[in-house]
Amino acid sequence: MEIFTQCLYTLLASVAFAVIFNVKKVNIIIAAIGGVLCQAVFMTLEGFFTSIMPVYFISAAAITIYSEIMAARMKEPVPVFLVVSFIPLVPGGEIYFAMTSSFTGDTDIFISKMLHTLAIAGSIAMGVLIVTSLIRIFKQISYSIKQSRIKA
Amino acid sequence: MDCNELVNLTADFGVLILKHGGEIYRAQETIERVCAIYSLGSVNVFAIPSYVIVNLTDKDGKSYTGMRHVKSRNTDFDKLSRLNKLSRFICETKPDAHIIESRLKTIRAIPDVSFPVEIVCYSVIAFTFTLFFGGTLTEAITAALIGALLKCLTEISLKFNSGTFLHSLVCSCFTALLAFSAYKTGIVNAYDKIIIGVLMNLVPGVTITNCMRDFIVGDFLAGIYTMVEALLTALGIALGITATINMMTFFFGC
Repeated sequence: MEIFTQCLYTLLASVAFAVIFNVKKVNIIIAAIGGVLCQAVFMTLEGFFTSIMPVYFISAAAITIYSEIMAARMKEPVPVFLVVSFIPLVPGGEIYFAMTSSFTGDTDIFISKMLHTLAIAGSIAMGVLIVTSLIRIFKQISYSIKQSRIKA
Repeated sequence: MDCNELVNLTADFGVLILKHGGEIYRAQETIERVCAIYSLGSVNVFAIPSYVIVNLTDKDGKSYTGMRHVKSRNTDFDKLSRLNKLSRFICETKPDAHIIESRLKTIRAIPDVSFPVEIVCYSVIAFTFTLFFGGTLTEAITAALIGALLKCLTEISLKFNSGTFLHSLVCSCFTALLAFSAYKTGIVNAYDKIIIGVLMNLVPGVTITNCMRDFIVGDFLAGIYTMVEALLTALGIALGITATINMMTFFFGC
């Protein structure tokens, strides 16, 4: 049940973000579905792993694949979908609690939370980076195959 | 189309792409492709998030340069996708200079998202993310109100051109102040979820995404530029919240 309410919140927030960034028409829905997809993948996988990092990594990878496919299909730039989709992954709570513990003087908690947050950010970045690089290579290969076919 | 016109048009084109949230390589590739279509000479482009330099050397060895400063940036994906379509149109039909110019003018004239709509969106984001992070309904409604006020503050702050760090510092101070007052007056029982929810509005999403994409393509200079921008925003937010809450708890108790 929790997964449905969380996905509903994500849907509303993603639509609002899409409107702020002036995404138009059908693309709003596609971008919002990306946000929901991200949250759904995240919450489904959460139980399967002992550490949270691979969950962030896989969710980031999933939305990157989704955004790349949709961008190619709709002939839009990739950020249109990617920016809106990855918002639910932002570790807002972690950063907040790290920061408040830094000022109350709990240095141990601050350092461990901060490292945790940095690791999350790193996992998300890795997920996006690796998938995008792979897709770039894939595109180049398919482009060169097409070129050689035209020549032949 | 002569070389001067081409250089100026493509430089304007690149500036618009960077201004509305495109990546560096998108601006560079667009300029290179458009110049290649007209085959007036060899072209070199240098772009970072705040500058675009286009240099065209024609067949006689004469060189033309256009340089633009990207003064302010606001993300607008509608304009970005229109620019994308325009570049595809240019590559397919090779139109005259005045056609491209008028198209760019129409894209520039498209109005931004209207202020009331933005206020509603800010409240919706604050509302949903407060619930998302486990807040109660009263907290979420308070967050929605604070979100609407935050948008008004953002508008004022942008008018004064206060810069990334100061802007996020002021916004987060304001949010923390209002959330803490709501807590102190007994409207809500906790203020942390409200602050997290409202500040999701300030997450530099476009900056982070473009930073990662710049690094992939190898635009490390641009990547560092955007990374520093994202870090400064995050630092401003963090500093604003902690400083405000500590000050308030010092004066009024927790």
